Amino acid sequence: MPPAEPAGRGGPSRKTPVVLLIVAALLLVARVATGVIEAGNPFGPQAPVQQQPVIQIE
Amino acid sequence: MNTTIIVAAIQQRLKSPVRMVLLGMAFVFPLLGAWFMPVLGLPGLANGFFFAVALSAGLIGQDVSTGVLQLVFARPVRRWEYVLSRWLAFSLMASVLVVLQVTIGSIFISIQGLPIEADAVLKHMATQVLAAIGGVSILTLLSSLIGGLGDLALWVMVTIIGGVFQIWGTATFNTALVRVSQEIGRVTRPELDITALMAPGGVSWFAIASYLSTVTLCLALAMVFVNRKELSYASG
Repeated sequence: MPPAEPAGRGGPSRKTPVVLLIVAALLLVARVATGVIEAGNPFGPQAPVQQQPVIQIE
Repeated sequence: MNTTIIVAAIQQRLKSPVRMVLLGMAFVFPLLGAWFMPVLGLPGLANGFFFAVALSAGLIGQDVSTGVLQLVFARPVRRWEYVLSRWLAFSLMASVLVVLQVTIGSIFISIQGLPIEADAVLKHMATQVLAAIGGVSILTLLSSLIGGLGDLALWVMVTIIGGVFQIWGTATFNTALVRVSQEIGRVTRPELDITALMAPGGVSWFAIASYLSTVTLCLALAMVFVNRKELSYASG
């Protein structure tokens, strides 16, 4: 017996909340942007750790 | 949001003996640890993610495999509503378990004479609740892709791939691979450490965006996949 509704189409029961999709997409963009800002290029070499000068007290 | 689906999902889990035994063990053993070894402190009460996995494995997939979903969608229920309601039901259950465990555990630690601050308890509780919600979210997505308890197998597989990338990247000093493994980790185990977030040195907006992005993306994609699912009895 063929299905009543072809997959991926159709009625109000299959509506995806567009607002959630937009929020998810915006958060994904924010994730990439903050990742780049906080860690430099995420796929590039990490900046070497700057060594603090050691002050010796005699 | 559909209250009937939420209540039915909670009842479904309460009637599952295997899950109840697992949850009971994960709930009681850390409390015994807090009583007999209070030096373990709050880190010994970190089971939010485990509660999420034990409750939400097979969140959608089991309903697909058993033919429940066909019956549910024969009623006027929107598919996104079904996904969101199941996600909310298990997030609520896991969060209640976390709150109870951390509260009782903190009382035990306090009774045993170790100092414990209310502020630290609340931060730890919030971290574990967020871990539980994150765990339910990733399993919601994986469960929308595969039937039965296949979501658990998928999660283990992706976690192992992340681990392989981590080892490979570390061994070859390849920072890109290490970064990829970290991102896989953030997706398979979305967490937001509130204690670290509120520590002096500034808020990590990346940690916040990363967590929220994983949760919303998992839910949105799960809804899209469930919408595209062919559920006719004839399709099998």
